[in-house]
Amino acid sequence: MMRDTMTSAERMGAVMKGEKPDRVPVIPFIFGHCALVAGQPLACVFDNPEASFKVQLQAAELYGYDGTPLYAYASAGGWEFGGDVEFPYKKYSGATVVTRHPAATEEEALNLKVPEDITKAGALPLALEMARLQMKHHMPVTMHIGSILSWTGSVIGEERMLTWMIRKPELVHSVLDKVAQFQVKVAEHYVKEFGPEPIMAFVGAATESNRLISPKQFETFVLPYVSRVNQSISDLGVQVFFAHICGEQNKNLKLWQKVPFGKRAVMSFGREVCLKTAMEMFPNSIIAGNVDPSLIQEGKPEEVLDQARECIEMAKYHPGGYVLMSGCDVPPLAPPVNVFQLIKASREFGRY
Amino acid sequence: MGGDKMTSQERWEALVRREKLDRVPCLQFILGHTAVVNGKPIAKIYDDAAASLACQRNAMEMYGYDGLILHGWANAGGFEFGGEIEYPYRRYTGAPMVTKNPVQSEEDAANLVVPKDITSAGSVPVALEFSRLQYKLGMPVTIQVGSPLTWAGSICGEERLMPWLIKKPDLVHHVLRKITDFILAKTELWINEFGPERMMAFDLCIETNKLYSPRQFETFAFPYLKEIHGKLTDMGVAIFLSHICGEQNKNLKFWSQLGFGKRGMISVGKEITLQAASEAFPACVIMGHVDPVVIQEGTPEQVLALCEQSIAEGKNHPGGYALMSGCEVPPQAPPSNVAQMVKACRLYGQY
Repeated sequence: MMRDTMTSAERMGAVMKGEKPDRVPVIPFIFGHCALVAGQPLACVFDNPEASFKVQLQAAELYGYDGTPLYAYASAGGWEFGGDVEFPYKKYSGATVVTRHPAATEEEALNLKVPEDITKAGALPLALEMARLQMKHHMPVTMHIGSILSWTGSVIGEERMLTWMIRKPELVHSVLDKVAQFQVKVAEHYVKEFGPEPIMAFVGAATESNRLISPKQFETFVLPYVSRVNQSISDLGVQVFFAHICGEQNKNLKLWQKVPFGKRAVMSFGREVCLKTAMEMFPNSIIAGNVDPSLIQEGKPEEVLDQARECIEMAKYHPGGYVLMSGCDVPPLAPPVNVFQLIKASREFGRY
Repeated sequence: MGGDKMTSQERWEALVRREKLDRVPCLQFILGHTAVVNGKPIAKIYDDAAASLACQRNAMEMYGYDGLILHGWANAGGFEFGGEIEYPYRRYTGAPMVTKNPVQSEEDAANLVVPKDITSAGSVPVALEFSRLQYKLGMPVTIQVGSPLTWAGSICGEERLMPWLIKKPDLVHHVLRKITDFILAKTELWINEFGPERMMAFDLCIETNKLYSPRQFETFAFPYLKEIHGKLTDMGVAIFLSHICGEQNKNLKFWSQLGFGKRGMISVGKEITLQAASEAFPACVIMGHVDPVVIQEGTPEQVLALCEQSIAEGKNHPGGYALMSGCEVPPQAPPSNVAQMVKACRLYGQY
């Protein structure tokens, strides 16, 4: 196996600048797993920024991957608008979940207010503390701002929202508008505190999957709001976006193409979107993906290595740049040796 | 952190040949943990040769340490002489343990015989398959050769054995004789198949002074160890690795009189200072001795600090030094802690 000739920071820096790194960088998209390999409770990744930052750095060092710590969870939004969450302290829980949605009735949805002081809303105090640590250590300051529909689902409750999208669309629009206002306020605060340059806006778009909504619903309920939010963030001077287009979204891709993503975007895809398709649709963006997380959890090391090799061979020369990544969050209990195969694959097959 | 200038294999070979190294090697005493990081049951390390080798190789590659890969366990002996064991499939079990000692009475002890067919005795079939895989892959071929007194505990049951040391010493010597004959016959089997030059014999020796006095060591452990170590050295065995487990400071003067093949390697627990080990074994590689409890329970920073200390104490030992845990890495140790050992070698172990 060849030795690395760049540090992780140099490697990621090169890709972000559109330059050639020594090899394909690896960002596994990894949260709870970091806590477990550090012997800490999984929940610390979500409820303790200092511990979260530390275990994420330790995992990066253990495996040798190139990603830096970030604070986010798929089910965000509900807590920020006054709901309740449960951190994953229970056996078999893997991430933060909303236990009470703040807009569970039509009346609550109509009366929903954007929190006045966003710095105290839900996970924001924790996210900001993480951002301060990132800033202190000269890392990208990640800012979790969506996706818009996933957050709205977390505010209303996903099953309820999906029904309202058909029966009470104006109610969903009303909540989407509040969520969009909130996200822009968050961005304004981040830019004020950290300046726009180090910020990387992070969008995790899970509920937008075509297994839950149609492309038409995406066009109606997602596109206008995500475009508005992203444009506002770009206007604030934030240049880098990281979007995780989760799950089956092939029929949304043409619509995602219309969304502004600053000057430089990393577009991450799950197993359901072929990297070749992603490269065609987003020629100027960095493409990240898409080793199957189930395989990382359940497969043999050789199988993970083989799939990672296939990804690298498919996307390595994408003109916009390529990063090897799992198709979604690395399962917390994935065998460490399987996770390591991503880095091994990059070193063996990802040389430039 | 500077990149390594040698591969693990180059580093291992240089250590064996007493040549210059780029940095202190990290030789892990790690078994069940390698299954855990592979997502496999710990028992596979012991009852499935191919899975065991794969898990150990995968873990070695992930962490970047330089060895060891072997098949064996501390509580060996009882199974080989007809007892029963349980492999660690149950929650919280970490290694095979004897569930029925083959010697339960003085009569059993007096009638103890060396199994006729060594190749089918206890763990030997799996160990042999493991060695064949090692041979095929060009690795050192490992063989567990004791220690006799530790095996006697596994055969008789430690609580039964200890009173016999005082009240029935002849019976204990009889058992130890049979064990020694078994180990020598097992070694011949290995040498006939693999040749001595590829072999690394190892013994896991729990003759701690917390269980046995130095006088008991001298009487019951030393003569048999001397015979095995001497004969294996005469047979031309390339490497002899002894893990001198726990508190054995008062046994060191005996240990230092033993032969250790063409290249001796001595692994000690935190109870023995590396300076004491260095003085007792000037020509052998000294390995040690990061506290496994800290690897399991400590923070990465604490593990790193302990490693730094061990490296500073052992690095310039004339016989060679390798960083190692003081005993087996606990199966459930956090991987981020285990990773500190190679990190420490890279940070503090440069030559």
